[in-house]
Amino acid sequence: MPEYEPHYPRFDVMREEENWDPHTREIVTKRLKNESFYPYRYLTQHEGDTLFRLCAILLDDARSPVLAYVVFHFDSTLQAGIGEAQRKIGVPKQSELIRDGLALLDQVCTERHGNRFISMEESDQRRFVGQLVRGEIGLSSGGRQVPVREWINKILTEAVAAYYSHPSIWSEIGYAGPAYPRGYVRSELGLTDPWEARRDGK
Amino acid sequence: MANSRDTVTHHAVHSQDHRHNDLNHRKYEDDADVCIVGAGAAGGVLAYELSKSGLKVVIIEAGPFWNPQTDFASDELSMTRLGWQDTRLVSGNDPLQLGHNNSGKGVGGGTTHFTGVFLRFHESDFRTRSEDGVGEDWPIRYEDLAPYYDKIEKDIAVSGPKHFPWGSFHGPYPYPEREPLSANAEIFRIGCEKLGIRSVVAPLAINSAPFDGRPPCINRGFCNQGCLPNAKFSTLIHHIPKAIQHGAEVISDSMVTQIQTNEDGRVTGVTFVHEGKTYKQKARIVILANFVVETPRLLLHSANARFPDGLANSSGWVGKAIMPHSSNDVYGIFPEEIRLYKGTPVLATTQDFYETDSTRGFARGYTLHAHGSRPVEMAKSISKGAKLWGSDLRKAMLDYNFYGRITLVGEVLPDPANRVTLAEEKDEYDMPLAHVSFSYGENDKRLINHAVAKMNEIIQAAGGIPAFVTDDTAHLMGGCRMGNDPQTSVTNGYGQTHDIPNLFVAGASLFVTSGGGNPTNTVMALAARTADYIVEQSKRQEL
Ligand SMILES: Cc1cc2nc3c(=O)[nH]c(=O)nc-3n(C[C@H](O)[C@H](O)[C@H](O)COP(=O)(O)OP(=O)(O)OC[C@H]3O[C@@H](n4cnc5c(N)ncnc54)[C@H](O)[C@@H]3O)c2cc1C
Ligand code: SF4
Repeated sequence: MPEYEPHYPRFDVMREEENWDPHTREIVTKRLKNESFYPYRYLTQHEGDTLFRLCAILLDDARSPVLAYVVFHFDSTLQAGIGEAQRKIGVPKQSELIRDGLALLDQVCTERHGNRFISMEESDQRRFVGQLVRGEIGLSSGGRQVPVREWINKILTEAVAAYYSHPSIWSEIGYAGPAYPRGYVRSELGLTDPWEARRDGK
Repeated sequence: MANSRDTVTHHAVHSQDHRHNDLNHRKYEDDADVCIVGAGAAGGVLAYELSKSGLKVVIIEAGPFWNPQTDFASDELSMTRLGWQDTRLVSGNDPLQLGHNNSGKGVGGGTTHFTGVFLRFHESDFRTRSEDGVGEDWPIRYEDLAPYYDKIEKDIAVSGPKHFPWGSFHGPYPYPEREPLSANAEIFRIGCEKLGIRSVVAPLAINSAPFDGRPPCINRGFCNQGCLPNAKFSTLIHHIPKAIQHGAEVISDSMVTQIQTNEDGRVTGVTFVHEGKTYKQKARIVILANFVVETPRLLLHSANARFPDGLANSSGWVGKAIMPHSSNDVYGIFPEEIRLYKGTPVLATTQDFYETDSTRGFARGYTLHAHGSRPVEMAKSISKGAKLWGSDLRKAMLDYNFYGRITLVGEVLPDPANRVTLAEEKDEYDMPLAHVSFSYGENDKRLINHAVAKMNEIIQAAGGIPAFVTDDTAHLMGGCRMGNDPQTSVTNGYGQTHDIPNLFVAGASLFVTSGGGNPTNTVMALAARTADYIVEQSKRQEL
């Protein structure tokens, strides 16, 4: 994993939570309550563990509190059974796509590497995911298959949505987060309001 | 999903003196003059205008009656629920992204989470066939809509520049232009100026000063997540409450599943489902204002022995020629912080490329906007199709604050092959899912290439380096187009269906062409014109 150097190492968006409206605060602080993520309601423990590793590679970040929230996002989305907004014709329903894809991932890994995905060496996991993304490996075994591009895109999109909704990541990238009721007064080029991330140390 | 803590949201029937959470106390169960399906941009305007004229109006809305204070949040992920999340099947060479991207659900429809950019169409938009040999002419002209654009802009106090250089309307707008701008809007204007491109502060359906008991915008940037302070117009906070004051009844959380007709071939009302139970609403006139995908779906699904191909579909044009806008984004990286999260997302605009220019190799044109973004939207769009992932994605997003962004709103020509049909698969109401097919045409692609090159130039001229181009679409129009010829269109120039005189269509589905600018001013102007027509016709007992 490469070393990352955030521009705002000391910025913590949660310092401002008292200034957010109660509904937003409730939504955002829940993302930090890792104990509330378990037990999973839709995923099996093994599916959750597999998604954890997979997302760690897709996002290049294995920090546990954040990744745990990403996996929880999958679990709660699938459990809620809300619509998919759109699904390409011929592609399985989201819940089947994700679940069958995870099962096939293990089968293909076992055939090729003699191990389920989570038991493989990290370097092998990374190489394997790269091959999946580039479409060099399919997800088919024993007469079953899953459209690999759709599968990996679905997982990446949901993982990205959850990851960039986590306050620790907001802090890291210098995003000032929720902004009601106070809004922004100094919005023009070069100006910052006092609670925003600043490179000179805040 | 209804919010159990809230007294507004968890009720289903909303009228002047009453809110009920059951459907046993309806105001006009058997004697409504008008039933409007969908409480979005068009539905809201119609509900207000028709109830003001004294008609008994019932509005049936599939989603909740949101309470901004308790239902909205300054958060991208949780507010995707303002979109129509129910699954639609998509196909074609360029399958559309639906949901929060273009379809709203709940009172206010798309206006609860729209960006508030409020533009008029140009004269040429209504005459693309005559002027450029592409698309189709509308049955109405710009002049027919001009008084309604004036009216709508005044009704909601659109803010905008003193002088608007393009099209037929040159300002001033009812309210002064917004200030201060965001850094992203400033660099856009700097880039444009260096290249000799004219730009303005965008006309917006957002308060630049207090209006109608609502405060000015506080530049928090979350317009697409619903405006908490109510500074941005939506029909949820403007037209619908006023319609209720004028006697209209809103039935929320209720999905219309069927339109009823009688042996004379006239519409008698609709069937809807609330919490698993089916109800009927009778009405003398039914208006479908339920947007580009659901309006055709409902018409097709309401087929019966007399109308075997669906209602109002003798032309076969129901569902045909839907159009998004091409909406590619260019992200450029700058040496200084831009902070795309700050300020109303769109604050600066150019329409210098709007009209056809034969030297460019394509017909029609486009609008460009300086366009802010929050992290989820940016990360999702640059990672789309796994173009960027792993360490490349993470590195790019660590520089989030250093990116600026420009977005295209490009005209897409109508093509009957781009259409809504019914799929085999059914939903919870036993209605077939909508199948939405879309592919860009050659002209559309050339327009996009031209616009992307321009966006790159503007970013460079402003001192940035173009970094990511993402393909995207915005808005949806068409699917029940208006026209003079009943063989090639679904409604007349007022939205009245050719086949059934007491069945109307309102909203974005009426569009004949997409135009090259954001559509909602036109959606609402058309709705206000339809309202006048219905009031006139009702007076003369012709409906
Ligand atoms: C993210 C986003 C940004 C946008 N930004 C802009 C902008 O800056 N400027 C601009 O001009 N436009 C913008 N738009 C587009 C704008 O929202 C639409 O043009 C407008 O809302 C369309 O109006 P409408 O009345 O046709 O449909 P809608 O406003 O979508 O209303 C349709 C309503 O019908 C309801 N409905 C559907 N089916 C049924 C049924 N069977 N029974 C009951 N109810 C039903 C829906 O729930 C919905 O509330 C944006 C849209 C989105 C999503
Ligand atoms: S930027 Fe302004 S209009 Fe948009 S949501 Fe915030 S306060 Fe409302």
